[in-house]
Amino acid sequence: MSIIMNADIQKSLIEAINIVAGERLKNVNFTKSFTGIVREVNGLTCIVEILDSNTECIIPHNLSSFIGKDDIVIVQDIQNTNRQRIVQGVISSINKDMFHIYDTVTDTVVSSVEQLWDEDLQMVIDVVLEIGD
Amino acid sequence: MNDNIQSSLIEAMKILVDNAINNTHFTTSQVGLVKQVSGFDCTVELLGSDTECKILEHLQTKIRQGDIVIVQDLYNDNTTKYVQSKIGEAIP
Repeated sequence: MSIIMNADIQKSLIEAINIVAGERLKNVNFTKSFTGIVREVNGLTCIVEILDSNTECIIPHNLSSFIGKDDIVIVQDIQNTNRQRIVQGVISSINKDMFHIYDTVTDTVVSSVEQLWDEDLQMVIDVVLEIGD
Repeated sequence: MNDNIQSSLIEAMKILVDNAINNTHFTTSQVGLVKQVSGFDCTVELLGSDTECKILEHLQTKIRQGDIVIVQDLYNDNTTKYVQSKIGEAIP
């Protein structure tokens, strides 16, 4: 005996499979990535604007000196649960001028700074850097 | 249901599921060899082909030619790849 499926049944079967597969994929714990702009840094957490909404993200210890306001960062939702979003690093900044502190002894970039802060006065210091001969 | 229909159904399901997976934007990772570094960009050999990748600011001074690195494809679409970390150096 042979069965010939009609087009309607085929179509709804395909649709059903697509729905089931889509639902299953939503619950898979793959890592998901976003890029965003750092709006605010509070110690080891920061607020990153991702797809027009502000999200709180975790800054790993080894990156704490590299993340600043206006940096463009890669953020990963490591378990795809919308709970733990971790900053992976800086890829650029919306400020054109970036200033890096470079340690010539260890041959590494120690920090990137866009603004200097005076602890006593609790305010931003504006400085002009002149590079001489 | 006869065998033919069953196996074409399974075949159809595989195609649909593969398709759904290919259209998800999860992050995928690969290991590659750094061929060249220029500023915050570098060329990494991934599975035999050269790929342009971004270097994160804090890794810029650590990545050199000949390094073995983890590269992540942010959206699983081959458009945005960056060097996530350095895990070793190729023996010269």
